[in-house]
Amino acid sequence: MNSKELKPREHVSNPSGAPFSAPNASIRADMCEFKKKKAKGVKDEDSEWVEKYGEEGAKIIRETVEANMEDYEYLKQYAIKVE
Amino acid sequence: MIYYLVPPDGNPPSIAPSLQRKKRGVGTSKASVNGTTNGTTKAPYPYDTDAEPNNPTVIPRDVLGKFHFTFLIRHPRSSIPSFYRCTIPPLDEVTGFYDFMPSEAGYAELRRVFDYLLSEGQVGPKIAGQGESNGHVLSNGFSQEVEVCVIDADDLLDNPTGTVEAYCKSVGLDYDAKMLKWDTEEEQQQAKDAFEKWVCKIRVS
Repeated sequence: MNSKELKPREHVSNPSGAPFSAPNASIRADMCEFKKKKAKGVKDEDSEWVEKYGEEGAKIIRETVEANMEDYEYLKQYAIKVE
Repeated sequence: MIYYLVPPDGNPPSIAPSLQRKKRGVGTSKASVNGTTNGTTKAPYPYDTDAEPNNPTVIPRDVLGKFHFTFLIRHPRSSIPSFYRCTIPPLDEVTGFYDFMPSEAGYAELRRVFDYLLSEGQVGPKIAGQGESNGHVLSNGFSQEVEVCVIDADDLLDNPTGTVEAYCKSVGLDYDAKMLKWDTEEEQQQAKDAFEKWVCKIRVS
């Protein structure tokens, strides 16, 4: 609320909120690392949601997220790409 | 927003009675535009009105055609928890939503409307911010002036300048870096007025 402008947001290490963009998948080691990071991200997320919303809340949130991923990713294909 | 133009829970769409234009029949002197004689006044749904082919909304095609559509999407792992918070204290009092309803997430409806507008040629085939046209050819051969313009909220937050500039270019606005600043007293007040009810409730928690 006390902001005065829209500056690029800062990312903390391994954020649970920001989606991971796919790395260069041609190297198998990179893909393994990417999958580990992604899995850790989901686990961290689930823990955070359990803490904030309880087991039931976290469960329904996770189910709803999963249910909407396909439509989100479909629309994401069309998103403006900026560097 | 698009969610509210589409019947809930995947129910079949038909045009909203207030928007249907249909002659009342032989012997009438003017077309009825408010639909109360053509459709039932049964609320809220289903309407006893005609559906338009492929139109997933309750808005007639020619009315949709008056608008320039752009789309804002957000990753579900951000939007769903945020939506959930609106249905529990303290925000539930602000929103009036006391039950979290997954069916109101809105992604399915957004995709259906997006696909409809794309297939109708109302948006596209050129896609904003993705270089040259990707060569989509629509079956009706419609030559379009309105690009497909989709913004991902994470891109906006990670690169506000680039994203807003690209958005402006797509929709025909002149980009000005001042669009990303609201540091005058007047602008601060405007922001405060718009968002204050949300902030007070969050701080209470």
